Amino acid sequence: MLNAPDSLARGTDAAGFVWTAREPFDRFYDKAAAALVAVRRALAVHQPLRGGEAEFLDLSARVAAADAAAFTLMFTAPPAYAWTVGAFRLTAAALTGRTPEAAPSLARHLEGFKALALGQHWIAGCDLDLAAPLAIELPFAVPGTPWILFGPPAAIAGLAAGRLIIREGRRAHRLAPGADAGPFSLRRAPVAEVDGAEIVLSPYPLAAAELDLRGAAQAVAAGLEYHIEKLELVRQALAMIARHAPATWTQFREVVRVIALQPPGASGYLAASSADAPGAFVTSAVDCPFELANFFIHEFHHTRMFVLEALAPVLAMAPEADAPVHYSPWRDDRRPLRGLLHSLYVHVPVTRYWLAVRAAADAGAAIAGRAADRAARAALQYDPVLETFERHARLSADGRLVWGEIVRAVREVQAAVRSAGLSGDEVSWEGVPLGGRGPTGRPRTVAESVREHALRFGVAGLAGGASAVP
Amino acid sequence: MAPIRKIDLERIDGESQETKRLLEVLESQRSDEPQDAEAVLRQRFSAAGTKME
Repeated sequence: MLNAPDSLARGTDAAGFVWTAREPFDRFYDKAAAALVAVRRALAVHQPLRGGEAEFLDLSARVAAADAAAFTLMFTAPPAYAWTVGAFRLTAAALTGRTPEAAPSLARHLEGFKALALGQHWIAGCDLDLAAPLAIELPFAVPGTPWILFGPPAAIAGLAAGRLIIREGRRAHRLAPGADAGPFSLRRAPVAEVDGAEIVLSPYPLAAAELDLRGAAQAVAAGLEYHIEKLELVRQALAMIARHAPATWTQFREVVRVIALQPPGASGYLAASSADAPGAFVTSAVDCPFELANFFIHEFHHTRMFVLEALAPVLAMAPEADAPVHYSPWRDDRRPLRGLLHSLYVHVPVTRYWLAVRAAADAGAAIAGRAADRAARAALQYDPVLETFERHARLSADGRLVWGEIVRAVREVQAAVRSAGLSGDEVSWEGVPLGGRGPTGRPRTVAESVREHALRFGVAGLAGGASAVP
Repeated sequence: MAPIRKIDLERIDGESQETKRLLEVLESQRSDEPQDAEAVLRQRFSAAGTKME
């Protein structure tokens, strides 16, 4: 299927397509934009809302005719993708006309497009006059921008001369960026600017209940001040990626738009990504730029795998046939095959990152020790997952291409770990708090640590105790 | 910042095979034999709705 219109590689360099090329992101967003255009054209012809779609049609025509660069910035940030997929689903339901709730659901959803139009017009520096104001719950993040509106429930009527026009009952407020007006304030979230990247640190774009993203509520509870406080830490972590994982950084700086930070330990999850919010994630703001960079690389590659999966499914299995029954050396719960696929994929660049950190002369002994643990540990953890996947997964044609690349890259990174002189005999840093100089008491080895985890799940394959990297 | 390639909605509106395919799915909802839009979403936006921690 490699020459089919939807195939992943289209004859291009498969390794580049799977790991580093920008093309998958370009095709992914073109495809999402095609869904938006299809929705607009179907609604224009069939008008299932009997005229109730008129404002959306008018607004979407204005958006299509307006600045494409501004549209791109808005459309590649949350919530544009989730909104678009939802619009396609609800338009299909409304066009069938078989369920009475479909039309009102679509009408409510189309209201949300006003927020996207507002974001695009804000970025383009253009005025926007909404025929009917957009009712919002606050805080409200202006899509594609770092700006957040705080205050009581209100309605946004538009944008004029760079000021947000807000209606509160019969009163109207014109709110300039950074200013207060009545009970409202328009504040700018911190933006991490590193090497041309501009990444917004804000929990609000990921706070939508529909996303149901682990840690998002905790990031909102931590508030904007917490994100401001962590700006320098994030800058340092991004600089770590640029230095120690340049192949990731080249993509990361173009794709990642929003990071929400939760206090460590707040949610029970270290970090989380949603396929419905590409280019954004929640992570724990661990107080170590080396570790934080590790989380960032990990979550970015979830996004990349989401994008590859959206271009063509990797697994040729219905979701209900992919039960969470498989051992994962990276988790304390059992995982579906799709979870294993993601885990393997994200750990390859993460392992490369730790190898680079360890090789850096200025990392310091403690960080070098942690890095040696992480690289050696991952190199030992891959094989049982590879075996599980090979045994149970049914792959699509494109999935075989992706899988082949992952296996090749795993073997390559294991060879790099061996070449670095690392093995399972490295001292395990598991449980050593950040900032600690090393394990106390009798140190365990990485191989012992990996083996103990496997035995807790009744997995004997790692129980032999081999410490050499496969 | 140099993000993703600029998304040109007018180009996508006029030339995209993907637009035509997705429009066919929506148009079919008016017919006696509508295509399964949920299946299309799973196939063409297969990752939508999932999360990874």
